[in-house]
Amino acid sequence: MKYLGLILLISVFLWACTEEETCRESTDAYLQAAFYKAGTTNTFQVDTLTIKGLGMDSLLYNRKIKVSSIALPLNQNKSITSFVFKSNNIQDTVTVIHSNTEYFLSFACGCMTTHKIDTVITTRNFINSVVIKQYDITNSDVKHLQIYF
Amino acid sequence: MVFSVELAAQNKEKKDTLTGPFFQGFRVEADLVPLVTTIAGSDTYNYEAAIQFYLRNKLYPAFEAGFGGAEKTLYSGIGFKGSGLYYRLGTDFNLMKTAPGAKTTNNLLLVGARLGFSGFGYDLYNLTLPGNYWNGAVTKDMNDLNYFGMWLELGASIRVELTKNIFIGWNIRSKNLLLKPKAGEYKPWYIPGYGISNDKSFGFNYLIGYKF
Repeated sequence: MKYLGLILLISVFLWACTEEETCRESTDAYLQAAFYKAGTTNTFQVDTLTIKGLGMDSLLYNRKIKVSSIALPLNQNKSITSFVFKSNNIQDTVTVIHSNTEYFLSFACGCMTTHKIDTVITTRNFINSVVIKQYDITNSDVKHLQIYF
Repeated sequence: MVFSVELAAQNKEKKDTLTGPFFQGFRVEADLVPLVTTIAGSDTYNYEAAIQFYLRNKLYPAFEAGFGGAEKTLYSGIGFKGSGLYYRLGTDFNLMKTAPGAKTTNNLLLVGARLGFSGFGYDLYNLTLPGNYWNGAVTKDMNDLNYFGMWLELGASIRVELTKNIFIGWNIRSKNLLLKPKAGEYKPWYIPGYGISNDKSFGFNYLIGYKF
């Protein structure tokens, strides 16, 4: 009983030392889309797909073969983000209108930007239509859009 | 007949010693843990004093007040600086039983609960918002953020009378945050009187006090 106080005091210090931790969560929020064949519920593979941000030089996907799902980053400072989809020299532009929110995850991970989809607009050269399934874009792994070809 | 009267008198006497006057004094205390943590160079600091009332040797309501804070750069690079006053209100019950005929003791074995609260200001430094394909990373500081914390503590204490009216002992407590920060909002790393701002915390005091 005499040393119980001391033991407890030491255990408090040890516990305080193990408290710090590294981040185990993603701080990225991607707009995720799955591809479907128009008029069906069957998944669809695009033969070769190239995607880049409108007005950007670097590519997000470079002639990727047999693509059935994609993950795209949205602009964190603007509420409109456009992507150029290209397959076999046919081009479509998909525009997402969204809001951006700064989100504090934890002291281990810091902050990230989350988004909420408002509207998705697309040209219809090889894309048939886009359906929004999930409006909130966070670091969780869910499909937000269904793109029909 | 004589026997039963004697028994009744005995019962009456027993009851008197058990109850006594309603108010039986109070004890003021100071926490000695800061002496250790200051020497050990902790990132957090906490100064605490308490007053505990003795009601009919059964109920021990307590009021605790203190000043605590922290200044720390976390592993992620985020810096926290914040401090403030805190208060706790609650009561203890004495579990110490004196065996019949044994010498009475002023030592206490207490269990009880406290409701704690602290409203304080804090700063966060070096918050990085990671960039992506479209944007570069942004680093910023957030100053003069405010937080109101409320929590529940359950714990046990021991007080031993060293010499006349001078008591020494410890408290050990588990703490649960009642008002939790909203997901996604800034929050303090440390809450005065509570500890690191996880859902659960743990508290320890080593106190010296005087009973009036």
